[in-house]
Amino acid sequence: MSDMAVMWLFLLGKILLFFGIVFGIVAPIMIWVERKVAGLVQDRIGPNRVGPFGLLQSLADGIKLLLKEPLLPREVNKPYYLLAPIISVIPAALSFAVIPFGPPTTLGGLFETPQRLQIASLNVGLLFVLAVTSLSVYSVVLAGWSSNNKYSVLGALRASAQMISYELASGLAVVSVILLSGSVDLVHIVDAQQKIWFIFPGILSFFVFLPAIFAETNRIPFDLPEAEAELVVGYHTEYSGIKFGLFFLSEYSIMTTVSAMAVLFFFGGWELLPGFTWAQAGIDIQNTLIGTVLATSWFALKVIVFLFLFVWVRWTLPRFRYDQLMGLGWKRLLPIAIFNIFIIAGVMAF
Amino acid sequence: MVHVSIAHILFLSFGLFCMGGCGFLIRKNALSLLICLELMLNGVNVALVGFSRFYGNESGHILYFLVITVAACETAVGLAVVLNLFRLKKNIRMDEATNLKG
Amino acid sequence: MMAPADILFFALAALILLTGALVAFRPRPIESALWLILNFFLTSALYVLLGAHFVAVIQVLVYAGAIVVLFTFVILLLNLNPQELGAGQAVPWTSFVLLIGTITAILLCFHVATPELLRPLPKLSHPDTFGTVESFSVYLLKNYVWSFELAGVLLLLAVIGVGLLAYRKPKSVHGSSQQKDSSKTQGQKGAA
Repeated sequence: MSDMAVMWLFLLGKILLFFGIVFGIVAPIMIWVERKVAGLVQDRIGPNRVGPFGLLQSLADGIKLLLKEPLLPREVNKPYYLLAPIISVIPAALSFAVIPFGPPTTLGGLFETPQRLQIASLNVGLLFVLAVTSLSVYSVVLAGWSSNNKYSVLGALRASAQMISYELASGLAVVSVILLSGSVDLVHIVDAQQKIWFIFPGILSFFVFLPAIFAETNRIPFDLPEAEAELVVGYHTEYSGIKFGLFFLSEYSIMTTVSAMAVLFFFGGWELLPGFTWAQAGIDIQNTLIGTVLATSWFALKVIVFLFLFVWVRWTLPRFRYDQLMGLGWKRLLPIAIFNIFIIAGVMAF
Repeated sequence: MVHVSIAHILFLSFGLFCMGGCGFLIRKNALSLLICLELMLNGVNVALVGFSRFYGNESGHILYFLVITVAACETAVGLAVVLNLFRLKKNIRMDEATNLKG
Repeated sequence: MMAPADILFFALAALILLTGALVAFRPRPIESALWLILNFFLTSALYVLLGAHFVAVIQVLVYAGAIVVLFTFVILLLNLNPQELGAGQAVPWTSFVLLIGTITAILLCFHVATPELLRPLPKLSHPDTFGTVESFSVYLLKNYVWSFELAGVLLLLAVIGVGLLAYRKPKSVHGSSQQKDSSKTQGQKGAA
């Protein structure tokens, strides 16, 4: 096979693998994990009827959503109503284009030079992820506005205000990571963590980043926009069937994206341990196939830990009141993030 | 990589600017006015980035940054003004905002 | 046969102009805002084609992801009826004159474009580092430090100005029953 053909095939393989895993495996498994963990936290069993340990419950739910009658409420603004779930999936899918799920590798000698395991190896990868996740506000706004329902509008206003407020905090927390690593290229950020993971010097920025990503995905403790008891379901009240399924899917995808981001920025990506790289352990992650698979699985394991953290926090903490939420974002996290930048810049300059 | 001339980029910029300008002069809704203003600024930005590419210099990018900064500030202040106009007159038609006329 | 990059450029330019026309001439502001998002996205793609990677991402991050969100917010908050929009009125004759004048001006530009302007873009001397964050920031902080600082001050002034302009003291509980018309906007403002 010619060189170009191998490259194109590799790209196709990456795209299929990535999207297949995230949309086809991670999202359904996350739904199952959510319900099972919810059950166990609440001292009950959770789904255990459909398949062994209730594993096929997500499949059953997906089939149910697909087969539901596609309702179109009467007074909705039809183009925007139908557009909103589509717009919610686009940023979720697009942000995966720059996330590296493993080290640059020759796949056991298949390529001469190490190829990146990113679909698109941008040199502004971090900013790209920030930019694309900031577009997910529009789906919320359109969904709420087009639904012709006062609860939806209220939920949409709250959700979008919350999302843009915490985008600021997460962006500033990430600036400290850029300072520490000297690059916005995601693979370079991971390579810069070979001596020490950025969680240690950037502990304050991690404490700003973590609530920020919870708020951006509208998860508890920041899910007042979707609060079941108070706003019906908020901005996706009028959505049923596969339209709701798309919102759900995009929420779990963005959760996966921001978990991957947190691992890449603060927990060393695919590095083995802080200060103890794979090379020091005697495993060549770049040139051997088994090393690459090991590093990639280690990265996936860390992302899974973060996803479990999302689910765990959801069923443990109560939710914030809306003014507490906005006060936290603007009056506490933003000054802490700015102060943190000063500290890190000062330490790095001297 | 791309072999178009600077003239093509400038035509695009001029076209965007003129459409934004036309829209700006026609519209009665204050928000649509501000949106057309953004379109005009976008046209200017295309020209700046095009020139930056033409000379192989980053100065156009820096000026682009300053234009974006100014656009963001002006949008925020303009929207605050529109909000106040709405509170005063309960609608935002530009042909009714004539208190200071004559 | 043009290179694929050229075809892409012309396709992008045509789409940018089309969405720009849709922004300028749609009656409702929410539609203008949505087409504006698409316009900014396409412009960002154009910037990538011109090698300005950092600028392209900033375009999406700031313009499409923050400024247009501001617009969308205000459109949502004001929640206007069609009477208040001013839609459905006849387009005045001045706009047609302007449109014709624009087309004439563009055609005039085609006529007077010198051959020098129509040459292809020169090759970059350092294509790998042109438009990256590093080269941009080095250039900015080496040559344009004052502009950078002034931009920061301008942003601060804008924040203060918006806070002053848009702030309204929350009305006391006793006065709200008598003021029915302003309490509706107050409620919308309080929900945000």
